[in-house]
Amino acid sequence: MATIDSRIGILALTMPLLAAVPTAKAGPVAMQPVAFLTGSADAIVLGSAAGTLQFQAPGAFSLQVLRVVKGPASIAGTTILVQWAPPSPGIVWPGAGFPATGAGIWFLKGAAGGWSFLPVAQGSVTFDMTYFPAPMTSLPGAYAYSATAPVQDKLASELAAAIEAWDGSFKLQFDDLFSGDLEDLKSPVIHTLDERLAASSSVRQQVLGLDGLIIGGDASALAKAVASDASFSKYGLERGMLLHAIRELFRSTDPAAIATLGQTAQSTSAALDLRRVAAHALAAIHTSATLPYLATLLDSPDAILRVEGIGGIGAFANSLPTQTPANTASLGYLQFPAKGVYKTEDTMAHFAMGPKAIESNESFYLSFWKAWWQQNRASLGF
Amino acid sequence: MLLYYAQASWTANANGHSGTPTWTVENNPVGGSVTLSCYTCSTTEATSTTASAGCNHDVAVYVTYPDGAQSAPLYVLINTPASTTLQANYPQNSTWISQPGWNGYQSKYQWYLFDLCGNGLEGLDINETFGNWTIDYTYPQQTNWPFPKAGSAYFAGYDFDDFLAASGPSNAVPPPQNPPQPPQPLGDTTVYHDTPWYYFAGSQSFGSGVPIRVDTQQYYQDHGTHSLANW
Repeated sequence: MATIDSRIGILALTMPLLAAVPTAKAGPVAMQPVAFLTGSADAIVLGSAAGTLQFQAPGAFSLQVLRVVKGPASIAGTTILVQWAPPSPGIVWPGAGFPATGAGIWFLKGAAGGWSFLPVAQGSVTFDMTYFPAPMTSLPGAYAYSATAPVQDKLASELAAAIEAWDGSFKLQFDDLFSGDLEDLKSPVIHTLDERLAASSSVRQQVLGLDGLIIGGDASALAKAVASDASFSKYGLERGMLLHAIRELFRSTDPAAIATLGQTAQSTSAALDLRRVAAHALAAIHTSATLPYLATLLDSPDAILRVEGIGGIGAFANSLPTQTPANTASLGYLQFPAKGVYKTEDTMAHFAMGPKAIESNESFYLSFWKAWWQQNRASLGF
Repeated sequence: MLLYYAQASWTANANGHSGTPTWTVENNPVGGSVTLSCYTCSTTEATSTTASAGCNHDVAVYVTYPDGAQSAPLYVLINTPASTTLQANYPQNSTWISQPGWNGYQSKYQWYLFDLCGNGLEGLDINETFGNWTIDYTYPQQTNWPFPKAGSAYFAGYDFDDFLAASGPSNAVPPPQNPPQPPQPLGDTTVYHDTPWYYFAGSQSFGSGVPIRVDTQQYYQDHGTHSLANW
């Protein structure tokens, strides 16, 4: 008996040594632009994956294809073999294998003996991040498409249906679609999606729909978003996307849009983060119609709003172009033209944007641009 | 793929003057600065050596011709990735089950990256480097979680993500847990941490590029964190 007890004791001590090693992951994960994936893929399908893969070794999984968006129509209704190559270095995965399962929209490349696939995300990706999750069902009537429709419209329809079916749980792939990536497909279906979402009974979907419409420059969507902002607070992530769309992508010079931005930036009842993104959009646009609003911001108690006022008026006076994503990358929005109606050595010397430059010597900039506005407002019609 | 060019070619316009011009550069002692490939020549290659102090044109360049004629200044701003802001409602903690029967989490951080002028930057390579790992979980026995490896990626959009994740079986030490559902609070059992953790923009080569974040990354049993929201 004593011997048996002893053995039990030994077993208890050694059990922890048999503990299985978990998986740890770090690092960036970046979505591939949908337009890039569309152009690069030899086939795009709605399908359901099955199989088991080894992380650090090439393998293959089967994909049951329901619909073909791009590529040979003959693979619809069949099961194809898709080759898998071990991805990024960010994952440490000592385990033997992992399940390759999931239903959604897959991007495929032709490969010797079958297909390989283009993951929709790169970096430290796991298998579930490599496709757009979508239900294996027929499309809603609003998104039905013909076999001869352009690939962009077909894909937009599949993505739109998937987004409408999304329950809002964390999906990396969808999170990143609402920063202008969907619009880059240049499909009218995306506008349909945005309008349907904006009219949804779900507040979360409303925010996403308005986000898309605002990226498209829709002034009435901007007005609705501003008016409804207090009701969006429960959906912080989606509201954050919407604010970012206003700040970085909304560049409409429509008078109604300018008025909404200007009134929002000035409003003491609006949320401060909303006021700041409206002010930033105004400063980026900096047409003459924005100037009265930007000038008012020079007296704001909020330092960031004053910074936007200084930057926007300075950009106008120096004849700088409207800042957009395209000329931000090229720095074109910061290149002084040779001549400008209001551009002088003084306006160039007092030009600054952003808090880093302006807050280091705010009075220098603030006093100049206040005086400049008083000297020039009449000639500008204000 | 977008690169931040640190060089530019400048050509003097003689505008009726003759001879070879001389270039004069007024750098900002605490801000932007450039060096030129030649200083008495018609065309020169400018290489930025430091970024501007802020979003203003703090480098002035002139050319002077042998007859004494001097050009109007060319004002130069040297822009750079400058700050990151954590997007609203991040980090997002979600369940990550890498194998059937396991539990685990993935904590996603998403930042916006801004240039000196406060505008969002898109289309940049990103890489991370790790510092020193310290094991926090040592009792009743030391953790058997492997250290993760550093990653890199090209980001086409404005948002720059980082994941901290772990998944494992119930007999791992300690067993990774799914993030609790709010309003249940996140756990406080630490496993290991790494400092300094760096995030660089402009390259996928580890340690190359402009540092845009540095902090401590902490792995807990049911979530992961970065110590600083903004930088």
